[in-house]
Amino acid sequence: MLRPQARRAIGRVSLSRRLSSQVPATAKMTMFAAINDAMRVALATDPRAVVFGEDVAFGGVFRCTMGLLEEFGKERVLNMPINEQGLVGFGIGMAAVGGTAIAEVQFADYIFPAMDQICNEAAKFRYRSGGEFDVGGLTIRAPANAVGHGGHYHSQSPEAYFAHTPGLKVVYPRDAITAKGLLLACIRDRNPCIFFEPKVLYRSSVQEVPTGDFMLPLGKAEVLTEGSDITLVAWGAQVHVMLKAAARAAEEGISVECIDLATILPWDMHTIRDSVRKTGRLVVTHEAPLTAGFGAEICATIQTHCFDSLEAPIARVCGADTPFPLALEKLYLPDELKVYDAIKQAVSY
Amino acid sequence: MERQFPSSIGYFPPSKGSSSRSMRSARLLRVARSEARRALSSSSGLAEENAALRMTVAALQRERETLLSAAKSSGVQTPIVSLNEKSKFVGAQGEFSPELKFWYPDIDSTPPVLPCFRLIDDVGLPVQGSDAAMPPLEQEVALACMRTMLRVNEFEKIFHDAQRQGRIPFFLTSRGEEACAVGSIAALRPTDWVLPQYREMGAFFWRGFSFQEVANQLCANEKDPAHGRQLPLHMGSKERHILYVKSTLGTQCPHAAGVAYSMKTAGSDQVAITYFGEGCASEGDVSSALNIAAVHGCPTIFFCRNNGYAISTNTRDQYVSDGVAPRGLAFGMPTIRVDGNDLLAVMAATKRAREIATTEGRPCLIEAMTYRIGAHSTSDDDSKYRTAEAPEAGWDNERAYWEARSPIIRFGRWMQALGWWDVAAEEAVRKQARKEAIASLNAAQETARPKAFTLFTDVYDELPWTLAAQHDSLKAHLKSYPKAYDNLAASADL
Ligand SMILES: Cc1ncc(C[n+]2csc(CCOP(=O)(O)OP(=O)(O)O)c2C)c(N)n1
Ligand SMILES: [Mg+2]
Repeated sequence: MLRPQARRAIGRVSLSRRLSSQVPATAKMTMFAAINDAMRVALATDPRAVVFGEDVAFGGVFRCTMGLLEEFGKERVLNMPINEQGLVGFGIGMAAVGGTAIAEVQFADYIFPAMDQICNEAAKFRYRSGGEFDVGGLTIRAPANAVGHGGHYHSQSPEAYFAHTPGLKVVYPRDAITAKGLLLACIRDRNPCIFFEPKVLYRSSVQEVPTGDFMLPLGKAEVLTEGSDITLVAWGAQVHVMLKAAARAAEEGISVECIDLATILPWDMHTIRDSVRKTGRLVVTHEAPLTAGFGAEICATIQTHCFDSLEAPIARVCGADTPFPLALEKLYLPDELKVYDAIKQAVSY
Repeated sequence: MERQFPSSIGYFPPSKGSSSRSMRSARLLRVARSEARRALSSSSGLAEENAALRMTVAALQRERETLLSAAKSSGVQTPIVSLNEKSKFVGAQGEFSPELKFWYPDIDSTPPVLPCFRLIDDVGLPVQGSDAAMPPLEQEVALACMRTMLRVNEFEKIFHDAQRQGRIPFFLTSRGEEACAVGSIAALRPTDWVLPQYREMGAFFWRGFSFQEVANQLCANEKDPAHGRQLPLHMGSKERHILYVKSTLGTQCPHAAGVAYSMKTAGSDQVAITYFGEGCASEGDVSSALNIAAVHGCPTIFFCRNNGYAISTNTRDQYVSDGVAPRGLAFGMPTIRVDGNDLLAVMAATKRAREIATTEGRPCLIEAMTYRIGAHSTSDDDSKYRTAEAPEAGWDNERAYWEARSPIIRFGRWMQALGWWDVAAEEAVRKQARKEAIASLNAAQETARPKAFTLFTDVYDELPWTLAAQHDSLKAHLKSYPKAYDNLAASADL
């Protein structure tokens, strides 16, 4: 299913295809290829853009930077010594003087050594200088979410830590198309952005992705399926779990409105509010632990704005309040069945 | 106000027959100094103080001129006319120098390019002059080292293949680097603390881990004491004095400083050894650890396995210094670089490091040079980045060159020369290890998964209400959907 933006983009495409049949304006891409394409566009259109991170020169452990070194040279595609705080700090410095820094942290689980650089430096650069400086040119990409066998340190979804830091933008694509459009938007946005890539989708999400310059708006949630009985909100890989649970509920005649939040910070409250005013029910689901996950923020705000419309308590279906396990990953995760169960409970409340 | 005076005002390069002259100079200097000091101590106001200072400087200058002309007339080499005294800055105290010079580590050899300590050469023969440092190694211990390296090697082959067959989710080998873990751990006491990275299987076997115990961890079954919570190879044991492996690079190094310090405060002579790769050495935690351990005299042995690669990243992109070893010197600790494929050298260096740590109460850095024969891990394709060319002509490629210099081959030849080892002995150990490894894999795979309740335990010492509630709701969920989780867990497990 396509989001309206992509539909629009593809609409343009078919128009231009009719005009000149040589230029294919979409191409079949995996999510990692789409991310690669976004960075290629950034490097090609911005001479001060630099891509760097651990192992990026040979293409990156998830192949997202493949071919960039060969195309743009070793001054614009840098292998970094293994040092996350250092490489993020390096990016902050570049961006502070007008450069475009596209940093890769090899796994979101390894972003924590850079916490100080991100939360105390990048996030406060503009505020503490009265707007004289900013590091809007900084984007940090990091593979996040579960992968089936990643254990503690290759599975985490640390968005809530960063959502608690004013000054940052935190973004999650759900597939190849949104990965390309949102990443390029992050790179060009005038605020430091953290871009969490659901690693389980790198190869499994394959779509017709708009080629060339293609951006999607940040700060906009997207209604993926319209419904009247209940609203579901998710982001990243969990979007697909949400859609499956909604389809299962639909078989029983429950009409579910599914929303991909896409940008965690600043988040699109209005789209969710309008939906919940219509449906009267809300379930938020994310992989990260329940307590103080970003779902808590959504629930608190929505109950304030939708108190009169609510027909059931807002529910959260989230990871357990434990470190991310290995052998018992399936029990830990908010799977399709748990989300489905929450839908049923809300509807029959 | 007390003023310090320079201890010398000129530096004469030593030359023959100048001793009486320099004695005279020293006498003259003392006179000039005491004059100045008298002038200063009798002053009262600021003006007087300034005048006294001027006199002091004048006296020092007069003295210098006298010394200079005396030196010239007696044909002594022209002295360096700097005020070549030692700096008294709080932060560092070297000599002053008038020379505007940036010191280039590569041009000035500061610190010097460190030699690589080895006792046996590439074919396992003792190198000249190795007698003194050769560790006194009983045949029994040598055999134990060899057996351990071989068992590591065979065990890793079996489990590497098991990963390829999808039987475990992840694996990596220490192939070609076996002597780093085995040679170092064998030099320590069984109660010395070990803080591994992840490529030190030899340390686990040396400390008594059985194949079955490791297999249980690798297969994440219910016999794994950590309940299958971590990735394969992330194991540890309090009984064996090994802290658990984790994936977060470098974090173990400051821990090792703290562990050693804590042992010291407890009055124990246990030391801590921590292993880390040359890639990991770039993490801030590693520099922090070296500095803290040096400042507080922690009996920690920092053992860097420099195997040339960090996943795809060649050391060329990791550092431009002379390896990792100079960092030990920079942080003020005794440091050695060793041939990490020479088990004897690794052992001798670690023994000495332990001595230094315990008798001098300070940390040491060992940089062991080796080569990662395998891919980084089973998630990696090393053909995409590994240097093709061998460092010397006559070899197919870099990997083949180093494989031929593997520690097992070299140590085996050394033992063979002593009549302690032969091909048949090696084949017997390998065969037996293979058999045991396969059996341990099969048994581990037949063992049940960890019980579902272990999802919630050990997060805290006691279950908080949040987890108790989540436990209960998972239990209820499994009850409502008994079929869906059949192969994984039953509500009865909770
Ligand atoms: C903090 C952190 N950043 C990145 C990684 C990903 N990573 C795992 S192993 C590795 C390379 C380590 O190389 P090195 O320290 O040389 O050890 P070797 O694998 O060569 O034994 C990297 C980058 C990690 N585990 N932890
Ligand atoms: Mg390495």
